[in-house]
Amino acid sequence: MADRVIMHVGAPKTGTSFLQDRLFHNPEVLAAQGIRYPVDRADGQFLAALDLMQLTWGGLEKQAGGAWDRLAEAVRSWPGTAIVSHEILGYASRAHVRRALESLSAPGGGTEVHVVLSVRDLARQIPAEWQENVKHRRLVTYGEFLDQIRDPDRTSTLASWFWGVQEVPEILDRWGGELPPEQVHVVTVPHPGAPRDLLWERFMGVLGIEPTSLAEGTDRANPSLGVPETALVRRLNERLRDVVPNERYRQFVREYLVHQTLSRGQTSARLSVPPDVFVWADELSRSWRDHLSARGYDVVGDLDELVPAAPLPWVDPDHPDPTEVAEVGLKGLDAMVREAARLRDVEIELHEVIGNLQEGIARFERRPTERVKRRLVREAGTNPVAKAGLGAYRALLGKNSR
Amino acid sequence: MPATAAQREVVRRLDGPAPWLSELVLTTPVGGRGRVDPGEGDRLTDRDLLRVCVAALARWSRTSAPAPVPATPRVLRRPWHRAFVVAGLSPHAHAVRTALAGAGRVEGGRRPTVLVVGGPLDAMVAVHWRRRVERGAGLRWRRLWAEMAARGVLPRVVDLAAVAEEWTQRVPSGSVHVLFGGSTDEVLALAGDLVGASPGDAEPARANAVDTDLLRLLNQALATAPAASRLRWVDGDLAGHLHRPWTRAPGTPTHELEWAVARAGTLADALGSGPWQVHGDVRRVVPSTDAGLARSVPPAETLALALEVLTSLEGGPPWPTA
Repeated sequence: MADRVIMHVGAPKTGTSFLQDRLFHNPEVLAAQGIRYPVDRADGQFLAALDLMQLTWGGLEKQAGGAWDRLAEAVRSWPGTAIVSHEILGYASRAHVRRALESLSAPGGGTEVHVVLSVRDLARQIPAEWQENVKHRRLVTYGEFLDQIRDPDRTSTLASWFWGVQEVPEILDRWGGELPPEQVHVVTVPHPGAPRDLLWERFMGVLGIEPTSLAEGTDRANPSLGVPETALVRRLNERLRDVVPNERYRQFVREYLVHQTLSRGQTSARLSVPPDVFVWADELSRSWRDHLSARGYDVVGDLDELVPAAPLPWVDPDHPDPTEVAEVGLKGLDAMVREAARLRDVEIELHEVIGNLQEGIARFERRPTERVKRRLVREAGTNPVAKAGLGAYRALLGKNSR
Repeated sequence: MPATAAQREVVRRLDGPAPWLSELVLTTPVGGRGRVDPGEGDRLTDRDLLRVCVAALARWSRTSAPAPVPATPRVLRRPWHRAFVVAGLSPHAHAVRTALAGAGRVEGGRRPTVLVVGGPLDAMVAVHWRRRVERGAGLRWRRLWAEMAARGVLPRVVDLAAVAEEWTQRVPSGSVHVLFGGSTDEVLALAGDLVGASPGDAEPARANAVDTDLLRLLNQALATAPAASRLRWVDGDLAGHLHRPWTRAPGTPTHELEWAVARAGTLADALGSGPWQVHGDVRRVVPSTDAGLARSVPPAETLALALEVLTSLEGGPPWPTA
C-alpha cells in the first residue's frame, strides 16, 4: 500500500517530458529513496491516462486497454511514495478524478494524496499549445486558434481541450478540491532568464527527490519550434492530410522532421501572441494569480511568474517571411533526403537477406527426400495409397504435421 | 459527486426514466473529447448531451453475461447448383446475397459465375463505412470521404472495375457479369437468371447513417474496453438497437462531391470497357448531386437515437466501474 501518492497532472509545456524521462530511466535510484514511478514503458502513464478518460489518440488508445487499472495496482502495491505524472491528466473531469483517486488509494484510507500542477504564464502557453496542435497534424491557423480559445462558449473541440489542460484554477479545483490545500502544490515555471536548473530544483523539491540523483536519461524533451518552422509544418499537414497514416506521421514528421531536425539549431523568431491577446492573457493570468493566492495552495516558486513577463516581438505565423520558410523547408528537405537514402540502404540490405534465405529454401526443396515428401503430400488428397504412405510416415515421425 | 448539467439534461430528456437508468446516466464519467464538466449556465450542445449518452451506453454494454446469440445453421452447397460469387460492396450486392441464400444457394464452388453488383458510389461508400465501423473504426462519414479524396483512390471493395478485373484473371472468360440495376427487384431478377435460381425478396444492405454514427461513437468510448463489449453492438445481443432498415444514405460531403463525381465517371468508363458482360447502366455509379440531400449526420439525430436506445435498455445494476 502506497503511503503517499503524488499526482502530477500537468500542464503541458511545463517541462513534463524531461521530468518523466528522468523518472522512467532511474527506477533504482528512486527506489533507494523509497519512491516508485510505476511504468513498464516510457509512455505507460500516458496510456493509463487515455484509459482513465476514454480518450482516443490517433489509434494509440488501442494499446491502452486496462492500463489505468494496472497502474493503480502498481501504485497500491508500493510501500512508499508513488508518482503518477502525465500532463493530459489535467483534462480529467471530476468523475474521472474521483475514480482515479479511489483506485490509487488503499481501501479504507491511509494513503496521503498530493496533487502537483506545474504552470507557466499564458503568453507562453498559448503559442505553445498551438504549436502542439500543429505537431499533432492539425491544420488550424494561429488566427483561428486564437479566435476559438477566446470564444466564451468554448464549445469547439480545440477550445475545450485547451482550457481543459490549461485553466489552472479549474484543474486544481477538480483535482484538489477535496484535499487540504497544503497537499495541493503549484510549481511555477520561472520567467526566461532564470537559472537553468531552477525549475528542476522546484520539481525535485516537491517530489522529495535528491536533485542530482536522477542522472540517467535520454534528454528527451518536447522542444519548441520558431515561427517559420511551425508555419512550414502546418502547411505540410495540409499536404499530408489523410494521406499518411498517423503512425508514419508520428515517425517521420513529428519525431524526425520536427524533433530531430527543425527544432535543433534554430535561430528564427519565437512564437508569441499579438498585442491584444497579450493584454487579455495578462489580465486573465493576474486573476488566476489572485485566485490561487486566496486558496492557500502550497506554491513552489512564485505566483507572480504566472503573470507574463514583457511580451516577445509579435511575428505573425499565419503570414511568415517566405524566405525564412523556404530556408526552413530546405533544411527539412535536406534531412528527409538523407533519411530516405539511409532507409533505401536498409531496404537493399534486407532484400539481400531475403534473397539469401530464398536461395536456402530453394536448395532445401531440391533435395530428393524433400521432393518425395512434397509429392506424397500433394497426392495424398486424391490417391489412397499415397494417403496411407503419408500416414505411416507421420506415425513414424511421431507427429501429425508435415 | 454532483452530476453535471449535461447529465441532468439527458435525464430530463429521457422523460421519467427508471431509477437505475437515471443513476447510470448521472454517475457515469463522461469520456472522450469535449468540454470538461459543463457548468451551470453553459449552453449545452447536442454534442455535450451525446457524450453523456454514449458514455452511459458504453458503460452499460460492459456489463457481464450478455445474452447468447444463436449460431447460424450451416448450409451445404448442392453440387448440381451453378457455382457463383457475389462481388463488390453495394446495397444491391447485399440484397443479391441475401436473396440467393434464401433460395438455398451457397456462394462458392469451382469455375463460378461472378456477379459484380454495383450501385451509386455514395451508397457503396456508405456500406463500406458501415463495415469499417462494425469492425471498430471511429471514423466519421466526412472524414472517410476526405481520406479517399486526398489519396485519390477508392477502397478496393468499392472500386468495382478493379474487382471485376481481378475476377477476370481467375475465372473462365465470360463468367464475370457487372450488374447495375435500377431497382432491387430488377437486380435480383438479373442475378437469378445468371445463377439459375429464383431468388425471393430481399432488402438492400442496411447502413442506416444515424445508427452507424452512434456505433462509431460507441467504438470510441469502448476503445480501451474488451472487444466483447463493442461486439455486442455489432452482432451480439445489442445489435438490434443499431441495425434498423436503411432509411436514407448520406450524400457525398459537399467538399468531396466534385471529386466523387469525376472518380465515378472514370469508374463507369472502366466498367463499360472491360472484358466482362455489363447488365444495366454503369452510369448509375455516379453519386447523387441532389442539392436537397443531407450530406452529413446531424448530431441531433444521433442524439435522438442515443436517447431512444437508452430508454429501451432493460436491466439494471450492477454495472462495472466506467
